Amino acid sequence: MTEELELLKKDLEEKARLADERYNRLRYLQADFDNYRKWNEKEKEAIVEFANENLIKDLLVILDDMERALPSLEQEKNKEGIAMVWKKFLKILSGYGLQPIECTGKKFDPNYHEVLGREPCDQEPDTILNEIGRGYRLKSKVIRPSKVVVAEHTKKDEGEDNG
Amino acid sequence: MGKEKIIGIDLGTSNSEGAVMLGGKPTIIPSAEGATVAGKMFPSYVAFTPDGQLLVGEPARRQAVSNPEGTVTAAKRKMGTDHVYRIYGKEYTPQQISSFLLQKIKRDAEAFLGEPITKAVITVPAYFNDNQRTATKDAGKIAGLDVVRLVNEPTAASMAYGLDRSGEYKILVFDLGGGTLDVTIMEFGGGTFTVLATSGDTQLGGTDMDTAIFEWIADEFKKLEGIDLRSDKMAVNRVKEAAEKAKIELSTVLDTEINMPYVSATQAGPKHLSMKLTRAKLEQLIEPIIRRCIQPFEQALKDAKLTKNDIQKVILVGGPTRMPVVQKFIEDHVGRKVERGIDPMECVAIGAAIQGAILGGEITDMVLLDVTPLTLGIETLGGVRTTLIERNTTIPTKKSQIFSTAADLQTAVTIHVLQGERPMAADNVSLGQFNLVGIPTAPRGVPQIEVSFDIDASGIINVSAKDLGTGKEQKMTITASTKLAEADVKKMVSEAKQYEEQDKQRKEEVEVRNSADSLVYAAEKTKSDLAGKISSDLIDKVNAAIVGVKAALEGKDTAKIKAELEKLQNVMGEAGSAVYQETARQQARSQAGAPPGNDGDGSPRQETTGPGGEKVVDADFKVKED
Repeated sequence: MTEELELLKKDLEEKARLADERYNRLRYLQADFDNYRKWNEKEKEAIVEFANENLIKDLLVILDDMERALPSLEQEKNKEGIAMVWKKFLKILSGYGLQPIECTGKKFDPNYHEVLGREPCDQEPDTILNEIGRGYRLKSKVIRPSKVVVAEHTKKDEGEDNG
Repeated sequence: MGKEKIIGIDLGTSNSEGAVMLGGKPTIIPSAEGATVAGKMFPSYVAFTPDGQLLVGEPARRQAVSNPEGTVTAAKRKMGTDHVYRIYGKEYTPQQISSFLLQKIKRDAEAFLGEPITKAVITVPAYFNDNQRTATKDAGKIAGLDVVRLVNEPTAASMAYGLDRSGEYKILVFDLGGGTLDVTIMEFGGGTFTVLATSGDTQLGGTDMDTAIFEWIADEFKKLEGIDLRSDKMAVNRVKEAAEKAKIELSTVLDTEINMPYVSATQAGPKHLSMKLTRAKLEQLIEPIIRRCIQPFEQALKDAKLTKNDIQKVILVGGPTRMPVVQKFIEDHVGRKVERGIDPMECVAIGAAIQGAILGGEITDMVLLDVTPLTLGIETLGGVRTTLIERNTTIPTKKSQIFSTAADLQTAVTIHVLQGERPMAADNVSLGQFNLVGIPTAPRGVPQIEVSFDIDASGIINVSAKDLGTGKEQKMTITASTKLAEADVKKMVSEAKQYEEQDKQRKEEVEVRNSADSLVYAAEKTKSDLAGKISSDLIDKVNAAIVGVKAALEGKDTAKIKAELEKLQNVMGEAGSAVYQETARQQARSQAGAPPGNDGDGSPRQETTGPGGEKVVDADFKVKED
């Protein structure tokens, strides 16, 4: 009789442990789900905000090409026309929050610009000397950094090339 | 108390990324600076500006050219050595440099999850020795992370593919990254991975491929136009970007156009670059790079004292392994298909996140949430399949819906359980059927029969039908034996796509017939009520319209049924409004406030056709979820 009782007790303990464990897991799962739901909402907002990002990023090359075409157009009327098309295009995109990143003459900032080269000159080091590729941001996000050439550091600090 | 998340980190030589289990699914942690061209990883760059600012990842890479003395890359190669980086008068160990990368991932993870992160699993190359492993753990400590475990990169990759669940096999992991190749041969058995051999090349990777494409474009242009683009920074930048883009595109298409208008200019005017790069040409260009993979591959096999026939699983890691030519090379050399389904650029981080979740108790016995592979439903009037549970629904799940009878005085209904993606019942797989009998006699559409599908965690389906009037219930259980193999599931899904148009048409035909049938029934029933309230002229019109629909229903011309149905709808509408006008006049005379009754066309079927000819689901038949 006592043996049976002992067995039942053990069985109950085991079941209680299992129940606790499962309940715990359920709570974690619920919390996890709730967090996921919140995260999902945030993500949705982000998607709405930058829904056009990829499309606009792909269109930037067309903007570049038009801008590049301008100087080499010989007929004044054609030049004017293409310039109008370009401006209109840029205006539409800026309606979605696209803005060119300011560049030449500014101090280099790795959050907005990417250095492709540097040249010795008498300007303040890290001043942007010229823009090789225009950078853009969409609202607050940099979707393409400007590609730039900067003024070289004149004085060399101690250090080594770790590249 | 919320259990703390343990994140997984792939701390790479050229790129790094983190991942975490989110809602039971490994998810890559997005980098705060946004994604790069290649994916969600960020470059493993750390930099200090002359004015003492610390930069990590993308911003550090962007300024590397102007600040080489302040920029550190590939610190992973120096881990475990006593190398010291001297930068602007300060000294840094490789551990410290790595810790800046880990800190960034920690910050990104905290921003992404909205909770503090203090624990991580970090991956290391299989060949890392004790010193290198300790250094990696130290880097974690400096970053404020408790490194609960270090996992070998090939092991993490194998876990991402679920190879740690059962079985015994020898695995070859081919990891071709931006700048390094690692070949690892492992053995899995008894729940553990054992590394048998590693080999590699520290100077071989995707960057070499980009360079090869760039050189080809520049050479071709020179041949064609006599201009060397290499001397023009702007052109070099554009061609490099185009080369990388073309390489990525050619993994999915067979040829691509490289178009760069106004790439250069001479006295004669602007020059445009326009050339076609085929996959075959690309493969020819990178062939020398692929050939360099052979030696490390053979070496690893030799060191493991195995032949390629011993290998049972092949796993690819790294962006360049997405290229069909790289996959083909491996498959040809091993004589075995590679494992697919996980992004090779993400699988190491994903595996680390899975390991983290196991250690954190999130996954105890690898309970993976399952889904129903195919749609489940029942057959309804006219041989139409009505969906109860859609495919890809996560189980366990339960869905109920109320149905009714299709004929007057019907006392039994047949619940025919179907599985498949086709809208017509006959095109789906029958899982079984049963009858619910003893329904009290009533006009059609009146009895309410609740059909419930309940799938438990192991995929067993319980179907029940209950007459809500009498409480009578019938049940049936469908066990795994009646379920389909994976290949069948795929076949059924693709068939459904193939027949989509045709099926839609057939379903519409049946629906039109059902609506017509149902409206005739309703019209006949209400016709007698209308007598005396509307002109006999209008009654004749209703009669004529009913005859018209009935005649059309004898034939098979759906368009004709539709046209006749519309006529009847219009006449009924006319009759209905005439009745309301009459009633309103009477009510105005007596008293106001009596609510207008159902207009008589309340035939409660699955779907009835509204007055405007559009499909409406009768309010009685809303899906009730519990």
